[in-house]
Amino acid sequence: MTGVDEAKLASRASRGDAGAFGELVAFHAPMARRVAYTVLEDQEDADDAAQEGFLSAWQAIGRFDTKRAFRPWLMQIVVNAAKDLRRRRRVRSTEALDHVAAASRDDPARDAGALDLGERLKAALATLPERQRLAVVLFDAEGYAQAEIATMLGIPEGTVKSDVFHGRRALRKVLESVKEEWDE
Amino acid sequence: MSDLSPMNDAPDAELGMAIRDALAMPHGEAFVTRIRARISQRAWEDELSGWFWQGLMAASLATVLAGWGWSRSATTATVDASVASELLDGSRPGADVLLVAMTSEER
Repeated sequence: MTGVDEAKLASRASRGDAGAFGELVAFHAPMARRVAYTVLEDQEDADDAAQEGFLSAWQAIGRFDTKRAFRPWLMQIVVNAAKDLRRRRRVRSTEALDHVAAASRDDPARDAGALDLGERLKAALATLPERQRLAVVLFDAEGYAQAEIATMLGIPEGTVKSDVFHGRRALRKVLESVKEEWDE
Repeated sequence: MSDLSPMNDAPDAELGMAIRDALAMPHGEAFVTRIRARISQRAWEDELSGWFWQGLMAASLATVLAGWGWSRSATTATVDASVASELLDGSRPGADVLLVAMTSEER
């Protein structure tokens, strides 16, 4: 979807066109679910949060300034929905995180290379602080500018830069070790 | 390997793709269908809600107007009846004169 298409759809949606908003949902759903998962580390919770984010965005679309970019506006709502849900389900979320971290530490299959790259990256992400996780996912995986991420997360741009650097370094180690295993 | 310098402002494309694959979630179409259905439902509810409040306001206005009209006609009828009974009673001084004046005016 080009920026022009997105701007047109967002403009139509802001005038109450549910079909136009549905097209925006279809385009942004994979990203919204990934970002929600980054916060919650549980697929069901991530879907609930992404859904809540989309519905909140639909409720607020009348107030959306169509001169602004739609994508960061939407993703900020999704991130907030995910953080709200995490606060409500803190116990469950902690258990999920412990589970993933434990799998990465204790699973003997890990050293044998049975865990694929995706599982290892998820496990490595789970060891990062939430802000670092979000910064590196939003920047490297989702293509947001550091200034946009700073606005979304309510932190200075320099902090985003630092979080991306540290998060990326941890994840890069995993990526490189898997690649080495593949080469052997 | 990408440049891991903190000054590097460019996204790491290889790592980014690996993260997207790792975080990809199943049943994408079902998710989108569910959200679209919820949005359509909510849009319809908002529409209905708008009509409900407009209808409620119109009904309230109609009730107030009907009440005002009824009370006005009831008050006029009561006044007319009480004046007529006073005049027909004839016990009050000058009632006969007033009654003659009124009936002659009507003619």
